[in-house]
Amino acid sequence: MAAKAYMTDKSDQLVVVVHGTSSTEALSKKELIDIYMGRFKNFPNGSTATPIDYFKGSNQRKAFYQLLVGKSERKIDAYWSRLLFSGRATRPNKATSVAEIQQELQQNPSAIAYINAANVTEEMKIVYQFD
Amino acid sequence: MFISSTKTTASLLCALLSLSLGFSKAASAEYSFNGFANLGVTYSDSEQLAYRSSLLNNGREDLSLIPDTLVGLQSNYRFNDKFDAVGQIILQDRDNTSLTNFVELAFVRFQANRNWAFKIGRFSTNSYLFTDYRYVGHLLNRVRPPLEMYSAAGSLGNMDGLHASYTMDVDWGAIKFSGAYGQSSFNDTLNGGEVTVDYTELSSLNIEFQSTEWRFHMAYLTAVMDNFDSPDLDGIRNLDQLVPAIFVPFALELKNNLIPDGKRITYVSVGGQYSFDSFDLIAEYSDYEGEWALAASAKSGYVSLAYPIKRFTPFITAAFYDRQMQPEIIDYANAQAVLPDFAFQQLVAISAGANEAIRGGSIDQNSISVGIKWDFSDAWAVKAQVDHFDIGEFGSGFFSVQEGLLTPAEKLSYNVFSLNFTTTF
Repeated sequence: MAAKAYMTDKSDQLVVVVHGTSSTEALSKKELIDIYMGRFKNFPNGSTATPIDYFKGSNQRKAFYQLLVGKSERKIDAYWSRLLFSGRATRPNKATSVAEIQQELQQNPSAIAYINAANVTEEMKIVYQFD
Repeated sequence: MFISSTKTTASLLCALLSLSLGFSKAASAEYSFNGFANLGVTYSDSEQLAYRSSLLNNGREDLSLIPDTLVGLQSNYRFNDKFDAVGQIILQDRDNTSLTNFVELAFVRFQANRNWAFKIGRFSTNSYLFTDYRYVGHLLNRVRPPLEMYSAAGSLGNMDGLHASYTMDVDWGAIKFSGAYGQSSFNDTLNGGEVTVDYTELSSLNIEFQSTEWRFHMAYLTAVMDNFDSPDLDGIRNLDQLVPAIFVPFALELKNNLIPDGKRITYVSVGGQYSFDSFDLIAEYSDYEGEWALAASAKSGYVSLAYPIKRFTPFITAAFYDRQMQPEIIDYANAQAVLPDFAFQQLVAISAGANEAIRGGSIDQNSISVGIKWDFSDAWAVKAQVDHFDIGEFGSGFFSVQEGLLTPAEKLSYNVFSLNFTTTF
């Protein structure tokens, strides 16, 4: 599945969001990679980052990592297993639905997630958009 | 000794606590329980040697399900944004079944800020590229990391102490600087008795360069050995007082080579992994310096190339382990030159047992391995691998010698065939 083919119109566009009150206003692609590839556990401004993943096999998850680092979901799973079993980091929290992501972002000021543009609510703040 | 025992006990308790919390709270967001397993069958074709995947394991002959089979269990517990704990145990065919040989990780971590993190407890020395996940077969193309570098990693693959790391943000990825101080211990079994030695004043420095497509790693480890204990050690310690005067210099030489207390060891390693969708190239090199005849200085390394084709990944690896010291407990050529013939023959007889121990632990070999990995599902993979070892004279120390036989004196070739199923959960 081509990541950009997944985003057939603007409502499908993947955006990265944080809690509305987060002190993070914007992230570069490099800074987003640092968080979702486990290199850093904090945002650039030092506040804690809690990344959230869609469930395994979801189109959003596949598209996200293809757009982010050009890797398949299987390679990403292997990468995170390496970090887990070496004791370096734990995997991002898993969400099984848009509702779960929205709930997590409402309740957790440190949460960061990727979501379709159509599902962004006014409690969220967009910090990165994929073309 | 009391302090090192306390640290070890604390580490083991931390591991057990973390694991028990993981079992009881597996579904909670703050707790996670995970694991990995390898189910392997190996066939080795030597009539003299028995195959083992680690110096800490038992040797197994012919066809066996044991050498590459293991289960790893891990629990992670996140106290809050700053503190978390990790415990990991590895269940494998260890020669010595001391609990410490099964606890791989047991630490508490403090994430001070974006860049600095600190750990206390038992953690990986990170001595080589794959040291900290060498048991997780599912993450490797090969059945196991090359023996030439990783068989001995079990002896110093982890340590108990304090660890600090600083991760620096750079345009192409990140650079991680790490330092640690503490101790480790080697626990094995020889001739039915326990062999132990402590690695004290253990210091490690690591630098890791990480990018999306590649990583490069450098490490430096140094330690002082102490508290060596083995069967018949009292006889060795007092040997120079028990032998006639003509043999005293050689008894002292034997004692100096066999007892490592107070001697320093040093590891230096470099390694890199470069991954594209079309191929995966890995190369590592290590230089080990040690004055202990049972773990003599050596240089080792390997190059490995894998080429993923959809869910299949064929690979090939060439590796070497070159000892830098001849496997002799004393300089027999010098002894023969200075002793009368009858005395020299007596010396050879007196030192035969110790000399056989040195030869049994001496390593000198090259290998080439070919194989293929099939990721037949997202959670499972199967691998087939053939290893061909060319072993030098008295150089079979990676493997056990079959019961009743002496260490092979001649050069020999040795083949191991492996089929391995791996998973993570």
